[in-house]
Amino acid sequence: MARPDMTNIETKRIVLKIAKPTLLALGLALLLALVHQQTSEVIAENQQQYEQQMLRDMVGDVALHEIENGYEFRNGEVPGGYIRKVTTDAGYNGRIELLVAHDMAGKVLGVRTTFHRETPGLGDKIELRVSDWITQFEGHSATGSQWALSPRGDFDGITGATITSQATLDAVREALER
Amino acid sequence: MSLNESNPGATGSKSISLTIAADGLWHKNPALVQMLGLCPLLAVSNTVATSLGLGLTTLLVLTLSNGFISLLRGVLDDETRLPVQIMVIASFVTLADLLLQYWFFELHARIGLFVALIVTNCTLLGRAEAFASRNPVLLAVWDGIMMGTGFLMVLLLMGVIREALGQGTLFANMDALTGLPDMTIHLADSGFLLMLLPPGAFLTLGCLIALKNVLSGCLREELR
Repeated sequence: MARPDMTNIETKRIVLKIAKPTLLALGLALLLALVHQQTSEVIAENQQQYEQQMLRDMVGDVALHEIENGYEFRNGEVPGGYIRKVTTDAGYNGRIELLVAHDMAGKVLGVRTTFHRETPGLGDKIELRVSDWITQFEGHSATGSQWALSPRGDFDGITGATITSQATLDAVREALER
Repeated sequence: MSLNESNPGATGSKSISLTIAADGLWHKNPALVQMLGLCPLLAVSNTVATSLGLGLTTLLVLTLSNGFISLLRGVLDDETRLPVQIMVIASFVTLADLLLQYWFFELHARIGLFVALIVTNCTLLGRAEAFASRNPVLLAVWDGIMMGTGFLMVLLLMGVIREALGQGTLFANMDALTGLPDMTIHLADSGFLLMLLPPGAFLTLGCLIALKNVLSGCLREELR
């Protein structure tokens, strides 16, 4: 009776063939889990530091409370204003994420780009480390200014990156109107 | 010892190592000759800083995955070898991604998007399948280092050319990578934008490939 034996060997062969990659996958998953566990705290800290640095650049050293889609800040006991997180998909290369800080009167204190994929050399001028274009929003408010690119409005566009400029401008205004 | 793809005349470990080095850096350069890994190559070669960052990450992942896959070469079956290789590569890329966020967070903010693309870099699977799965660990690691260096060299060269012509600067944002003070060199106020856009990447790569072929031709003449 050779048949059961043959099936047995065949089964063993198949099980082994599946078992080896499975064990390897488990091993690799374990390794990644360990590294993730070891690094996640520092990574979260890095992320927060990166963001906090940006926030402090705009509103100074104030007490921040997280609210939905942003922060509320106080100067001592007095409410100081809000920092809004806004996202637009109208960029030249899709998503642009901004932080917009404004005081209680709705006046812009600062705007920062936290994520974008705009064209290097053109659209990336919305990043403060590339150009100070984004600082032109400071001091403007939703009602007091003409929210359009010059010559129709109060804001300069980036040469060669009108779509990026328009998307950023619209996103800042949207943040102020919340 | 069966050394796949190598020069049949090469014997002895020293000449094998030399053959591997020459292949990785020149004769079978992954970017210029094998045309592998073009997706990340074209995507991140805008500036020297991103080129260096992604090139080094690729070099590291390629070396590790080559070594690891070589260790597994007697264990794996033909049917499962390819999926396992991709799994190993993906694991090492994830590992690199985590470590990058751990040590160089700001750099990761810039090239993080492309780190995941290393998985799709065919150089890695290509070397795993064609070399690492058929050769001893040390040779596989050496092959990873050499192929990775060949890739890094082309990436850096493209970064230099594209950043200088497209943006008029060199080494912009290198501080995020090295932790050293800003070392941007300003060559011009503005650049030739096309070089920064995807067509510029293809044009640069095309010119480099042509240059490589001319040089190879000259070398062959010389040897004759």
